[in-house]
Amino acid sequence: MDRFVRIMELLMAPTWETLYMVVMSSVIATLLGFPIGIALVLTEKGGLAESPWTHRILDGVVNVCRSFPFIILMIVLFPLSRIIVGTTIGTTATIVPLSIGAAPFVGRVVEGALKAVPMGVVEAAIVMGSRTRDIVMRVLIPEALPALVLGETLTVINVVGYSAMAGAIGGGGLGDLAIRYGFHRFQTDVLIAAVVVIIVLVQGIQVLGNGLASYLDRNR
Amino acid sequence: MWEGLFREVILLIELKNVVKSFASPDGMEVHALRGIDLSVETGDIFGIIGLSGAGKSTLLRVMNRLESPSSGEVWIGGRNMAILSGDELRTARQDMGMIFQHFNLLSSRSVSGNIAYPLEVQRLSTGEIKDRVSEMLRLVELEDKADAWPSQLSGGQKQRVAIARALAGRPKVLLCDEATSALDPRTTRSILHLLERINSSTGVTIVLITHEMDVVREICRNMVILEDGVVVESGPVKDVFLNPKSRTAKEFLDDLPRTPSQDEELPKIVGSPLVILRFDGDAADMPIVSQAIKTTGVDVNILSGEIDSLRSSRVGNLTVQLSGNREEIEGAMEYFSRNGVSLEVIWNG
Ligand SMILES: Nc1ncnc2c1ncn2[C@@H]1O[C@H](COP(=O)(O)OP(=O)(O)O)[C@@H](O)[C@H]1O
Ligand SMILES: [Mg+2]
Repeated sequence: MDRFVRIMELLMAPTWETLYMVVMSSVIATLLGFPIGIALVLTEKGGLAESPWTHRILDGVVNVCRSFPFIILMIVLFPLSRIIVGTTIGTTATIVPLSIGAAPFVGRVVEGALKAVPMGVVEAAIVMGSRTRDIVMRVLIPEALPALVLGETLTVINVVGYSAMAGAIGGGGLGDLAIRYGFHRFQTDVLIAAVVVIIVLVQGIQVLGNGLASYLDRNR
Repeated sequence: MWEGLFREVILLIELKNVVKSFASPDGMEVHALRGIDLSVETGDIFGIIGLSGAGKSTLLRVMNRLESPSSGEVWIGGRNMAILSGDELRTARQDMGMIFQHFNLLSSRSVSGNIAYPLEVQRLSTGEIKDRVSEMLRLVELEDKADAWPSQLSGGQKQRVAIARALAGRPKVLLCDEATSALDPRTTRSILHLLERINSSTGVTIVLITHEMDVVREICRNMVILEDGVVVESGPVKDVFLNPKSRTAKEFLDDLPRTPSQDEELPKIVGSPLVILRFDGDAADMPIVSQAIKTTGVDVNILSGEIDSLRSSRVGNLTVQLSGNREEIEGAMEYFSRNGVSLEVIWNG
């Protein structure tokens, strides 16, 4: 019983750290990735602001970023973390590579969701004399909202996974806890407890995301 | 100068030698429109009919620049759509509404929200939008569905919402791309009558494309027949029905249960010519045949025939055998011609 309470105490701080990293990184990744996704859709061939070169470059950058294994990306971005938050270790420092790692993913998710809006609906908006801005804000995003929510859910879950990995190189959070206690000190029960919390977190996010998406879909 | 101005007032739409080619993936060119000349008068209900692949949709989409023509001029209300861009093109488009076969409503918005969309785009105030939306709901008789969602509506109701949305911004033209093709016959009729009613109450010019002759017959005044990217027939619907010249026109008319077949076994009696009489409008409503019999003494044996209701007039044809002496027969033929009946002698032995 004592042991249980002790593990609970051990879990408290890292769980908050993980939540903090995940929330911050997801928000920043979304802020970075959303415009990328929109730009990908607008600049593609036949898009509303067709621009083959812009599209090719964006597409390339997204692919390159996505092909980095996350651990490598984190190491590559150490200098950037130092510039932005003044250190390379700890939860706040980890937010930098987490955000940048997840942003291209968000870009692809947004691109996919917006491209699934039927062409006819977009054409109807065009012939009503819409500005591109109106089509994005009043047609594409609202029409794609349930798909966007599901994609965002996937993003957050990915970030949870990455954040656990970041623990391996001093990122803090549940991953860090699991490695320090479970791996270095052979306290298997702490390791299991950390994993259980991560599983519960992922499940919770998925249930929340699915629920929100189907709520948004209720009238469609 | 005056002539130009005059044309502009009378003719809302004027296409001059419009060509549109698509590059197909295998490097070949698809010639969807091969030099279209066409004009639509203000206030008209204008039908464009043709088989699938004839280029109807492309023609309509060139009018509001969903497609850019490869060459030619597309004059709509004094503006050449072919050369507009940016804000000018956007504003020009706000003068045109369009409805589609599959409605293309916004699933993220209620019925009212859909109708409000074009008004939001035109940056009207909330109050103005609210008033106009109620007005449009009344026009299409969907006041009770204001807060419903598109998914809760039938096909006919969805098309009504689409019509209300297309007309909310008070466009001069309504373009309809197979607007009734996804609907059952009864709903089709009710949508067509709604369009007709809107045309006469608001004066909006309607251009509709369809592959169904019935649709044209029901509401159009003027029409063109499109075949393989070329206009093969054009004019008042009545004339096209009465005197179809092109093969396509005849095929379309054949789909309707009316044209007498010339292969039919018709009784051939020497001295008694077989004649097709074609009537329109007034002539179809007058007792011309009995008058002809009375005034000339000819005998008229009616073999087959039909009278068709068009938009606001009627056309008909009768296949008859005329018997009597030569004088009586010639007198009858002259009588028919004089009274606006066109005559085609199909056998004279
Ligand atoms: N975007 C396009 N790219 C290539 N070919 C096209 C495109 N749109 C239409 N076409 C071709 O142009 C021709 C006319 O098409 P369309 O205008 O849709 O005919 P309709 O509406 O009369 O059925 C067809 O051969 C079609 O395949
Ligand atoms: Mg078509």
